[in-house]
Amino acid sequence: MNRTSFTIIVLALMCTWEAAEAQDHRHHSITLAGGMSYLAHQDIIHTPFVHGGMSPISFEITYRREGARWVHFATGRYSAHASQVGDSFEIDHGDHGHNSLPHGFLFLDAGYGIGRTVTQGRLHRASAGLSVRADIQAAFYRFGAEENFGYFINPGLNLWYSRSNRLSPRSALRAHVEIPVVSWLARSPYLVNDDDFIENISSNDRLKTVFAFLADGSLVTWDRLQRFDAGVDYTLSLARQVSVGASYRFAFTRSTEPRALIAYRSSLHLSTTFNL
Amino acid sequence: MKRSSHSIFAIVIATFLLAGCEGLFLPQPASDPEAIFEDLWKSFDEAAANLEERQIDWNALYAHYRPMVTPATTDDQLFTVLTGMLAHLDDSHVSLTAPHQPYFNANRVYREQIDKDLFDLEVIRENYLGAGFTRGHRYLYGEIIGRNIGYIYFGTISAETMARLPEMLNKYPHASGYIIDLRQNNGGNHTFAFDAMGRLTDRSRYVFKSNTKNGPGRDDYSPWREWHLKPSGRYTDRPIAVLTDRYTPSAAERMVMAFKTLPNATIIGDTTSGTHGTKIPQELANGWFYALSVQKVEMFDGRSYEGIGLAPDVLIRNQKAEVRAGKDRTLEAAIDLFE
Repeated sequence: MNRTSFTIIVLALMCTWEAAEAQDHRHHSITLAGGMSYLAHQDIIHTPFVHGGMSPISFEITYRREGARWVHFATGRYSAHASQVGDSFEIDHGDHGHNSLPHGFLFLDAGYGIGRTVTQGRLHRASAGLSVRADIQAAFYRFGAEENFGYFINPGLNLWYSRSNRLSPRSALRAHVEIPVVSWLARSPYLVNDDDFIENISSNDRLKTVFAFLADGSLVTWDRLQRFDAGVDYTLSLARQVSVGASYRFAFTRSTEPRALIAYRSSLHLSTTFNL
Repeated sequence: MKRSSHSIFAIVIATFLLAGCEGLFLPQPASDPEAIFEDLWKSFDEAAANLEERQIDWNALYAHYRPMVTPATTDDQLFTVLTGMLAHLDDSHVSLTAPHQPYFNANRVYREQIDKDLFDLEVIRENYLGAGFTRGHRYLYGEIIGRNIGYIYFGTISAETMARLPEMLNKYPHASGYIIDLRQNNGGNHTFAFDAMGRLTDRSRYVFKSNTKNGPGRDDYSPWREWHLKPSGRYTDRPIAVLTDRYTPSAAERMVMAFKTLPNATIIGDTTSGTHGTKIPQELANGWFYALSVQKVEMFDGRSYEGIGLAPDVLIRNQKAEVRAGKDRTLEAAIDLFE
């Protein structure tokens, strides 16, 4: 599949949404969630070690629009982690010194999905559809006086399935799983920075640099990039307009080129939903 | 109800099971002294470029140093063994950092700070520049007192410092010549230098080519990539003197290579560091850090000067006593060039 086909699919997705909108009674909601996130991340390009741990910096915002037949959602997620091998120590440069710092990992994920109700009963609803999602990971590897920048940029088209069950008149449980169909992957080069990397950062403009990194990527399918995103949400309605809840998210990534990257993130959030 | 609940719980349980799968990861290096030695040696074996250019028999060094490391080796002893092995590379891009140890640079000149006191920027600022100089983080430029000569010093090759070159050219557009001082420079990114030097060339000039290790085999390199100095902005053909010393490394040396393509540029001072490939840092299981060079570079003449350095057109070294007395002999040679 080439870039043109990929673009056509995305545009078709958006046109389908527009048509669906005209025929559904809609329920809108915005959910704000925050909490803890656990990361285990091994990127052989930069280090052979598994980095990560628990972080209190994990946020998510979700907009959902549900009708009798159509569902669509937009989500944004952010989490930040710090990790290092051993403890920080002072680096002796003779006439000056400074402490070693941990590596920093930032995860930014944004997506839009549309789907249709597959089955529906009095107490349950299952939906399935397509989504476009961009996963951007920035890593700041700090090795004493030196630093590497690592990137993983992965926009793509996913299949998703969601099932919700009403547990009581005021509470519900929803599970959601998403896997990629095809995506574009841009990662740091084999040994962190090669000539293409040096040229990509030469503009000294962050946006231009990101697009330069993206341009050096390639189209990938499941054989080259394995990803799995799943989540469970519990909600309890406090009033007609407001619900509270808890959610669990799990994201798994495995890529082999140019070198192995294996990572997963588990996030536990408390949430508030505003029904519009 | 039961079947739908089962579906949800199946997804939940599968998720939690996957969340506990530490076995998915590749084996991590161990932290005992022997494993640390093996990890460091193997990393250089697979990723270091220029072992041939520096005439290093890496296998022989393994045979010599490996027996010195046992399970009982202390941190201090291990540091001594590893730095002893790395010192053979004599590469200023190779380093080892450990707690309670001085920062180790594999290049002897850097490590022993040989002739480090033969350059003092304050001597230049106080004794050679007029009052209207401009100074910032890692750069200084002004006009040589009593001469119509522009001078600029770069302490690093960055977007911020390289932006000062066109500033200086604009401030002294009628200078009889320009002195560009790259002594005791930290290196950086040569693309910023090449962009800034666009005004110094009237046509595209091939400067060097480079390639990067992209596999564990000794011959696993990316294709060669050529770098050119390209014209941009208002061209100036004034004479240029470029000042160098043994502490002119990396991106600063690539900048010197670019000046060597200009017919109106003269390199004055001492031979440069001889460290041309990019470097990457890494970490060991005991929390120590190291860095190594992963690129080969060949200058426009088809030769590699890795480990050798770029010789100046005019060899001059400052004298310690003269610098203490406020005299910079190398700078004065550059000033005399424009007479």
